[in-house]
Amino acid sequence: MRVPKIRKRWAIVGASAAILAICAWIHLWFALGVIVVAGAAFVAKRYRIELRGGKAVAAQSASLLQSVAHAITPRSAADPTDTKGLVEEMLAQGRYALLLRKQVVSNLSDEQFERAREALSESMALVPEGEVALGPIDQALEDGKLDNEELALHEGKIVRVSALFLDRFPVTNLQFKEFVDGGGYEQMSIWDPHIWPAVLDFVDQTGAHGPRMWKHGRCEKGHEQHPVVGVSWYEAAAYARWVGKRLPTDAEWVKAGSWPVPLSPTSRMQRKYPWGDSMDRGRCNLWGSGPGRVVAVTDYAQGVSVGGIRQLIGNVWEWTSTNFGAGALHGGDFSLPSPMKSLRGGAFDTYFENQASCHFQSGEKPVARKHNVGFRCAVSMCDLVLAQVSVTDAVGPAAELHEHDKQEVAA
Amino acid sequence: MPFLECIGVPLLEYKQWHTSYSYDTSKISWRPRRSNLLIEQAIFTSTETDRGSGYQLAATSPGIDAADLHDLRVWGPSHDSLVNAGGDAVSINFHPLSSGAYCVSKTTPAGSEYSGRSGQLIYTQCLVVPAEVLLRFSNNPFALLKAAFAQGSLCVHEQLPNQLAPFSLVGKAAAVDLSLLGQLVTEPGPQWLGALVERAISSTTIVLLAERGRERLIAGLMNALPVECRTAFSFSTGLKPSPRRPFRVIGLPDMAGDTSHALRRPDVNVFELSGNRSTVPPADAPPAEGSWGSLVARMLETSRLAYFSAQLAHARPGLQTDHLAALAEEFWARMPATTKPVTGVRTTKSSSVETPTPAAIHNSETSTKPHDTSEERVLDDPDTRPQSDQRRADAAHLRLWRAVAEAAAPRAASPHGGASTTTTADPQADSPSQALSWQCPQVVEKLEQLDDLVFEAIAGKPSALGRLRTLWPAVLAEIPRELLEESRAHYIRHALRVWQDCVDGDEIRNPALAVTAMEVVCLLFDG
Amino acid sequence: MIKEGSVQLDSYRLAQYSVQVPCYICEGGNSFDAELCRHCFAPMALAHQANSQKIAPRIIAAIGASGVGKTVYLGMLMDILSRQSDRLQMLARGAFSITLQQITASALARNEFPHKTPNEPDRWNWVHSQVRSPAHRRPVDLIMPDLAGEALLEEIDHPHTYPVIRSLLSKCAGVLMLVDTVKLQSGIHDQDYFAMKLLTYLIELDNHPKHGWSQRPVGLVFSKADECEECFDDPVAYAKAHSAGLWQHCNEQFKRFQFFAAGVAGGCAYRNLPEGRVRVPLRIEPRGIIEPFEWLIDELRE
Repeated sequence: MRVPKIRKRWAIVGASAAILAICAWIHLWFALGVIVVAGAAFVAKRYRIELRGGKAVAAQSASLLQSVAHAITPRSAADPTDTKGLVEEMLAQGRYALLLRKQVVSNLSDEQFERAREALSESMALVPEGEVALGPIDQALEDGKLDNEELALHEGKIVRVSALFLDRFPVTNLQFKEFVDGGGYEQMSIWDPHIWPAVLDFVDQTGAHGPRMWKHGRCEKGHEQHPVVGVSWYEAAAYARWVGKRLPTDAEWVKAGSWPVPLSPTSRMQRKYPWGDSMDRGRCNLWGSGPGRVVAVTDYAQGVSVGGIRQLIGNVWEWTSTNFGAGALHGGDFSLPSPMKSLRGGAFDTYFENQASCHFQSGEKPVARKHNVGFRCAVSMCDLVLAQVSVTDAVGPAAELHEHDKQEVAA
Repeated sequence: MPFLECIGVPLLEYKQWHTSYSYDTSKISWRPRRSNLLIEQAIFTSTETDRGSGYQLAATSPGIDAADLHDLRVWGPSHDSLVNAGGDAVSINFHPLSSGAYCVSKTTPAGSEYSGRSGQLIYTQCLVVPAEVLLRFSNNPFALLKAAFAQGSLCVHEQLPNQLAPFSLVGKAAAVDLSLLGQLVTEPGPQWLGALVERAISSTTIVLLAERGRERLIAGLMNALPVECRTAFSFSTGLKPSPRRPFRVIGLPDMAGDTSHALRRPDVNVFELSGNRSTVPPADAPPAEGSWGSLVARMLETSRLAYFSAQLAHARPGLQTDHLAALAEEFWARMPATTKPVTGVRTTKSSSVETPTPAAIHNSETSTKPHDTSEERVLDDPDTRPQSDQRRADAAHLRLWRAVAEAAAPRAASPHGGASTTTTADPQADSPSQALSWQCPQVVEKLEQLDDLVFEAIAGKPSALGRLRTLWPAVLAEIPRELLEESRAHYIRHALRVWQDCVDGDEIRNPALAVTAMEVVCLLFDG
Repeated sequence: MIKEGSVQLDSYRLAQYSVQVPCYICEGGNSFDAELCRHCFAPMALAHQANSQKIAPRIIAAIGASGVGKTVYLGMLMDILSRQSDRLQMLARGAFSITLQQITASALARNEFPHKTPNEPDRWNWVHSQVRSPAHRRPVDLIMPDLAGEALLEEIDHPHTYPVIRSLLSKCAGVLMLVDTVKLQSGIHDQDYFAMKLLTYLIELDNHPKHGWSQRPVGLVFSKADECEECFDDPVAYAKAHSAGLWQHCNEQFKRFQFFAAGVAGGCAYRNLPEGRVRVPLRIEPRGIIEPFEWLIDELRE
């Protein structure tokens, strides 16, 4: 007897459904993964067709997300394909800057994008582009005014700064702990290659990876909101890369603190201190005006700068990315025993007021892990996407990657 | 004579060898005896050594006494000791040492501190000079330093040696640097220099304030003093004053600075040379009439430098600064009143002072030409000197030597012994030679006569040589030899100097004078 | 009949000259108007001030090799103590006592180290001050000179070159001996040897079992420790590890001693100036300055 065709089709469908159900029941995640991969492939294929010469970017986008997924290790228990989970994780770790990168932002939902942008706005302040005078020019500043002639006499120079975002507070112990717990000391891609052998020496008092003052991989209880100290320049730079940022340059740091305002093509107003031209010891933690130790980053709120950045002066010195003694920043030539990196801002034990101004530059060996040296991070405005746009625009061809980001993307 | 030569020469050589070597019982060997003619060296500067770091005696020569080493450490200038901060700052320093030798040193900046601290590295080269060697340079540290520099013995070592070597210094110096005094006549002027000299003599410590030319002024001061008195004037031309370095003469640009406390002592006299130096110094500055300073001023004003130099060339053992007033009086008295003073001073290209001498005026036969190293004894003919002048000169001379004798009473008698008021011989003397002692006016008169005659002869006066040939044996017979020895040595030295000046260079400039000088030498040797 | 009147005696001034005033350091006689002692060149103002007080000031000294940081340490100490009052407070007696503080603070504020201390004792800076502590009612009067390291070395090697040093150290109630951490860290043990030489010299100066130097407090301060953080963590362990000879010497010779770490400059570099290569501080952040001094004062009170 012949089986009717209709019955045959229903049987095939039913068998397939059963197989799927069984597979789904047994390998739920596998199925999900297959769906995700298939969907990604479809999207990739679609964007490959529509992109004008941007093949690599889209490919990088995917690999970037994957590398980000890889970066989320032990705690996240992860599924590297869980984008939402990844984004949540990164927001919790304060790595919003990574999420707002052109290459990554397309993976965010509107809500995630908004949250990342809010995190940026809450944690960082905008420093507008413009010129800033650098050098030992405190004595040249009369009532905050500085003209080019005086500048030349005091061996200062004018530097142009692009718009950037600067951390409102120095990086805290709590924030740095995220880096430590996230395996930052093991990710060689975020460290300068020539320092790899020395990374093993960046340990705390018990031998665990971490700042010099810590024990067993954590800071002293009650100091979570204190700026992290006892970190070398390399550790600071690695952390900055890990969170998708970088260390500010000297010019950027000074601009954020002194907030120069051009008066004419040859003169400008520039502050000695973030709050004005006179030292006010009630606004900063220096020798004699504080408890003689590092305090929480939220203290001394009156010392805020025009742009809303706190504790630029006092509490801890801050690493910048500039080399110390470079150029003609100081009168006379320095003969350094080894290359040094620039420090700015003064610390809780800075004795003289003139060494805690926006324009005073000190230096230290980049491997030094001092009790009074911390850092804050910066990110260029051009490296971030600050408005939700179509995916096409977000990965527009005019994206010029910042040097640091190029390395990160390549990794 | 050949027999004596056979015996004498080996004896002399043995004596010379014995004085050169001494027996070291610890090593059971002969070792070279420290020679009085060698100059030892030391370097005081900041350096790192195995012993320690900082300012120390970084290198020495082996012949320096322990006591002298201690003195060098005490006197050694350390960080920021130079008054001038420039790279060309220099200080010439002179001070006595415990052993009787003298330290002549030169302090200069020598780069930066080894320790990386700001401020110049101070480098002092010290020469430990025996008294005999210094005397050869007329007790003039500047002349000695000049000779050492010319010889190449003064240099800043890039790498400090482990040990320095002593050296001998050839040469000599005239009693007075006429060219220098000639320059000082122009700037700052005779009155200023005379005032400086007088102030220095009367002060325990004098600070000379002058913005420029301190070294020249202090050198002029030394040249204006008798040779025997110069060693009493320790000086520094450019070091900051310190109680650890009690120089008698300190040259400073001004009173400002962190060392003014060292000058606020009651025994410190400040002499400021500033403003228009061609004018007469202020009322409180000019030298007192009849003092040595006024004599110096007068000599410079009246261009009698050669006479002054000749007078200072005489040896006056035991002379001290207290006797200078009497010596000045003697000079005044000897100075010819009838001789018209020559006004104006011409300087030649070689910076020598041309002073036409009375001898040249009186005796046109002598072709003595003025030059800066000549020591022409400028005295007029004693036969034509007025009697009152003669008696005045004798009286002044007697007073001087009385003072010298009183000061040197425990010491052996000098040939030109001081005269006392007694005219009788020592009543306790038995022999004629003891009756004729330095207290005897006849002796003094004889010696003065001999002085005049010898110098005239050396100056080329023909009649003087003849009379000397007669007088010399008589003097030898009458006066004990020991009273004559030093004078003879001085006469011979002077004659040799004149002879050398005449024959220096490729040609003999004044053969007649040279021959006469040689004849005097032979005559004196024959005695 | 008795008449009364007052007649001014001019001769009292002459009488003053006839009475010698002993120097506070060497006890040599000087005229009343002498500015410096003619024997040891210490300021006579110390003697005049000491004579005007009921309690004689005690002498302490900061000693050490040339370039170890004595001037910077003392100047910084005075400046810090003059600005604070919660722990210890130092009040200068006499205008001359401010000089050291002024010179040091001015130089450091310009990012320079003060000049080298000259060897001549008449150019040293002396400090006479009163130290008050909230924990104690009675203040302590102190005299502290800023010595030249070379002078110390010369006096040890060649006695009587600097008589003031012998007199001073004989009368000192305690010392702070500074040791250069930078040199120790680089393996140069000259500091060790100099310190041991100096300590031996102290013992020889006065080896009385009851009041000799073996019983007086000696604070050993590792200076320039800002270049070596481990020194701040545990100075004693650092001493045992890097200057074992010194540590052993102290253990055997002294009953009261303590190791400390101190630093003034946060970092240093060299600057090429017309006068040469000069070491300059990059920032001033004093650490461990007060603790050694505080310990010494406490020891002196006992």
